[in-house]
Amino acid sequence: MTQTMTVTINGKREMFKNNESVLERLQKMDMQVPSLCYHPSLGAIETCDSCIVKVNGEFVRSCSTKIKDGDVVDSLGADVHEAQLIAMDRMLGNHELYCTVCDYNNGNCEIHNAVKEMKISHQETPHSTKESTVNRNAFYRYDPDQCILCGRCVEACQDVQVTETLSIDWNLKRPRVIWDKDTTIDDSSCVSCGHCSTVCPCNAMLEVGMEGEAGFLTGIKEETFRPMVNITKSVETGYESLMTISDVEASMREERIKKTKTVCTYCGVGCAFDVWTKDRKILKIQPQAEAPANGISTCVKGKFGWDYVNSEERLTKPLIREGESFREAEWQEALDLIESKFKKTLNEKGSDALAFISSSKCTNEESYLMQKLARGVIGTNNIDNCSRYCQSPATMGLWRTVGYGGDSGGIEDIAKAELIISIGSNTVESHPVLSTRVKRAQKLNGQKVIVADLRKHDLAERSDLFVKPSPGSDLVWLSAVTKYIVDQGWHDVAFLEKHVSDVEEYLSSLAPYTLDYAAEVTHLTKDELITIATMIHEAKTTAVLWAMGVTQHGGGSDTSTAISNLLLVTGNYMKPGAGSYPLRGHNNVQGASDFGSMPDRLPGYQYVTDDDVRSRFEASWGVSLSSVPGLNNHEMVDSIHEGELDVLYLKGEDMGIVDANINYVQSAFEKLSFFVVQDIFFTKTCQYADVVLPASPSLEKEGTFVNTERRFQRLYQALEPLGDSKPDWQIIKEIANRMGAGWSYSHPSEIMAEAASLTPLFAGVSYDRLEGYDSLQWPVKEDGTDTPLLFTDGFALPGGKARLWPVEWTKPLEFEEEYDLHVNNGRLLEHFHEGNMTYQTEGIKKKTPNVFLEVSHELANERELEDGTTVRLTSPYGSVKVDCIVTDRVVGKQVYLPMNTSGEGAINYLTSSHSDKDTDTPAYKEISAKMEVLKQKNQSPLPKTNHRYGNPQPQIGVKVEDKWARSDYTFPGDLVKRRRGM
Amino acid sequence: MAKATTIIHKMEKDPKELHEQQVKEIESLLVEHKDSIEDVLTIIHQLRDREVLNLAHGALGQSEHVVHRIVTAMDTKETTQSIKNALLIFELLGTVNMNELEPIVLKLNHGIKMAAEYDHSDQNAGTLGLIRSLNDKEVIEGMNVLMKFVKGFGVDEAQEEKIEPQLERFEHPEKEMGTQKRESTSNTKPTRVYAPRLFGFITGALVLLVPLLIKKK
Ligand code: SF4
Ligand code: SF4
Ligand code: SF4
Ligand code: FES
Repeated sequence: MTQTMTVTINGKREMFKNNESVLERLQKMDMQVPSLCYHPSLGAIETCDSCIVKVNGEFVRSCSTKIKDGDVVDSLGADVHEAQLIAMDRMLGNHELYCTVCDYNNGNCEIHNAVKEMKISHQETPHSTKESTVNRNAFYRYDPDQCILCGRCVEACQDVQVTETLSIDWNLKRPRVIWDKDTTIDDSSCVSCGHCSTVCPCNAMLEVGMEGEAGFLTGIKEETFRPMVNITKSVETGYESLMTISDVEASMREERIKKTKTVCTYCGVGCAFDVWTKDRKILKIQPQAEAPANGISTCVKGKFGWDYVNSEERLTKPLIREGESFREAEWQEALDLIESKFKKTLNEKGSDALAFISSSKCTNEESYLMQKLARGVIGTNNIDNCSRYCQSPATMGLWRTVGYGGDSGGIEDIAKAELIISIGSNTVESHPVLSTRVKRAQKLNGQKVIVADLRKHDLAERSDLFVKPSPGSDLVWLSAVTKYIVDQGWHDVAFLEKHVSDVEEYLSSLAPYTLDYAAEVTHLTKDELITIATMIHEAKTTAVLWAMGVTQHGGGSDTSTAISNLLLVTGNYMKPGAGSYPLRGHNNVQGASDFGSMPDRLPGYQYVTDDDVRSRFEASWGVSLSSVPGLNNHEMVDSIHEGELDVLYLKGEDMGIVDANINYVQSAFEKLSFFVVQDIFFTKTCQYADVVLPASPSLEKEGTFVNTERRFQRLYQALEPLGDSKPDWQIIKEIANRMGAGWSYSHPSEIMAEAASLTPLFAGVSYDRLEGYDSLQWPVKEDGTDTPLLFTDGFALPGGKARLWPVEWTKPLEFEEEYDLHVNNGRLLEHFHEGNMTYQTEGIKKKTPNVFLEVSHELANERELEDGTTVRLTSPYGSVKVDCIVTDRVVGKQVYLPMNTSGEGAINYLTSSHSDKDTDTPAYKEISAKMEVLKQKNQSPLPKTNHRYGNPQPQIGVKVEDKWARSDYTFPGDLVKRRRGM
Repeated sequence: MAKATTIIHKMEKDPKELHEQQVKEIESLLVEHKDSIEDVLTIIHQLRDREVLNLAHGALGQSEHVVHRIVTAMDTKETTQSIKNALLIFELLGTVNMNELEPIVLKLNHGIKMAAEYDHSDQNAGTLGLIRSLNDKEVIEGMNVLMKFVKGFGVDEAQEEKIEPQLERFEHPEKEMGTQKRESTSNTKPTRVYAPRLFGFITGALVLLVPLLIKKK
């Protein structure tokens, strides 16, 4: 790798070290070589032949030829040019140039640019149709007559997204891209992640949002289109003037179409991309290779789920309650009311009669201001955020053992790990882009994957080992595997000695976790347990991913601790490709806590009880702060019932539907004397409010998020706030100033600067360092050095040593015998939570219109259930009504209820107030219920056009060998040789 | 004690009041922008004098149907040939007196872009919307520039003599083909200014002018 090579390129001697392809080298040297099928994020695909050069006298594809010492490269010769022209000509036989009236003419069309660079003015192979129809769904469409068969889309679908829907059928007379076994997009397994349209070099695979919108001349009716193309063609004689005029038109588009970098708000992966807007219209989402977490990747929500921003249902004016109804009001009046009510309660009952709840969907700056309002202006530590519902136990487990409550490394490390263990995480649906990295590594690089889950979800389906521990028993098998590893002498003694404390005490605590005991409790076989231990032992690096299946249990913190213990014992920390990865659900779960929306901690996890910390904040804020930790969400609800808490200000969280045991929560809301809810939609929670404030979503404001990798990323404002809505930070500021705060922030960057100056963990974070796609992973030193991989020089605990922490198993909640079904629950790929944002996207709604209940074949046989049977599930806390889907994703008496509804099927009508004993996170996953059939036959809640009914066709890449094997294919280099008699 | 409710009473404006408010708005806009409006009228007159609008005139505000007919009609050898000729002339025009013309043309282009935006986006804006748009600094500037352009258009015969011979164009095709690489830009960095050849702007602007005046949808 580091050996210096001497290479002659176009007659000049060059020296360099990198091991790269001829194409990459030439591009670095600014030598233009066309390369239509090559995409830096996909690698060489070798379908287009346009990159032909001569290396040591032989024609080769420069994209797939590695440069070697002593090579002589010719990329300029007339024969080389001729070969490239042949390849280009073949492309143009597949792709008609009508740039001026093409929606893809935005300066980045690679065919356009290649034709221009090569000064091609006419073509030999006439363009002809592939005699197949345009294939489309609600999100994107494929026009075979424009497709150059480069195979990028196939490569992306097969090997990046790994949904394995696309292929090119090289056996057809005119090959083209096909879905599954050549069906429509809607009937295929396509998940509409959009990878294919993102990487397509031209307009063949195009986002529907762009159609007729991007250009000045592109919004033409179909029957007018053909004559229009003819006009442009004959007006623009030869391709030179076509290029010129369409370039002019493209540059005018630049003025009209705004491209703004933003960060997705649908999950903790934190995909960043450009959003293309024209006025308020969202034309498309364009991911960029430089995006640190996702590169070119997105899932359907991030790529296509933005219609909610322009929804008619958005709140655009403050609402004020008048008895049993609301009326629209002006800001002035709403703020007056809030001011007077807050002040009244403060005077009468003191600051602790008020409480504040931040949102894990809002920005860091907004989380910071909310806690500053609570602490610095009102004077209470009653501030929390919704990560209480999911993530606190994971954080707790990590605090105990390694000191930082965040992912050990980045998504890269997950891709790099030799072994991935996924526990209680439906990654493919909950963290779609992150899961693609696992699927790819397993498919192409031999990564091994173990899945422990109740349900056979997509990753389980693909895994090397899938085990189904009985509900809530993960701690037991984890501890048994750890014990077995130690018993075999497979533990990393040197690592433990050097970096870990409390080892002896911990090891002896493992005594009860014998294989027999574990087999009995977890229902895993001893063989399975031993296989897991062996696989960990054999892998050089293991990374564990876990989520709500672990955390939302009575012993969620302890199980998270057990995971970290296992990783410590096997030395799987402090190195790339290893460590713990609690996958964050909402986009800013990490940031909401990082920035102090917690009852006991100021920003950067600094304790309110710590005098030094408090005095630092006091000095900066010019107030004195309470040292008494406040109430968390659950205690707030209790406290309302007890009559202690009177006023609640809640933003961006539909607590009345997402909290467990919602009947109890909703009755608490009814008891509040004054309730302010701030949101973008009129949610279930809003129904209980006294004042509803209209907020602006991410596209309408600036700020930063922290993703699951602890990564700060900036979002920029793409649109003006709709109606009278305002960014949350401005609203909080106005309320604070009504309460006498005197805040003068004019931009979120000022808020970040203040937070960073008070928080050692983010000391070096600033908007300047987060410009564009730049990002920082905390801890960030004052000089801006960030930490992609945690713990490289020790752990964040006393003495820099990690700590093994003995844990005991908490038995899951037991239910009476009549509640004979275990109700599992979680997310769906295409919907965000209860779905108030994603149902606004027609295409998503059409394919996944309803919540449904997954039941097993066994249960279906026993109770005579079929697709569409309406049932009622009843737990001791409430009941839901929902339609069934029979599937082998679940087994026996376990059923699965996704959370995509706020109606009668909402899971939290079933859940209890039972919660993790250490963090008060609701034990959403511990529910049993009984079932009653309400209506035997009904329409299926899941249309057949849902991707779950598709028929994927796995293969590696595009199978270019099949193209080369066709009788009508000759390598352009050979053709040139023949023509020139070489 | 607040029971859950989904009833929301929208703020309603008295339609009469609304109407009056709008009329007032128009009035004050008209007064405020007297000069610009005069300019606009002049532009339209001059355009008509030069028959530029003939084609578009009948179709203005009409249905897709008309657009279709026009386009189909244009799709004949003779028509495209004459457009082509016109374009060639404008292309050459553009090579003259670059320095002097450049800022004007750049602005002109911007004005057209603005015009296009209004045409596409604001379906329900109607006359009111157009008049309101006069409030917009960029629009005013665009109008003024367009004004100048139209005034100067076809008047300055002397300039035509400076036109370089066609031969030169064919011998140096690279002049015609901007060779810089174009990429998509994102809003995070200062907008990269793209400056293709000047004549390109003029032809582009003119090519666009016709369909822009034909209202879509
Ligand atoms: S899953 Fe569908 S949208 Fe995603 S890359 Fe494959 S074909 Fe394209
Ligand atoms: S549709 Fe696929 S194969 Fe066709 S040009 Fe686009 S990326 Fe290439
Ligand atoms: S939902 Fe998650 S995976 Fe999907 S685009 Fe958004 S951040 Fe990426
Ligand atoms: S870029 Fe090398 S074959 Fe296409």
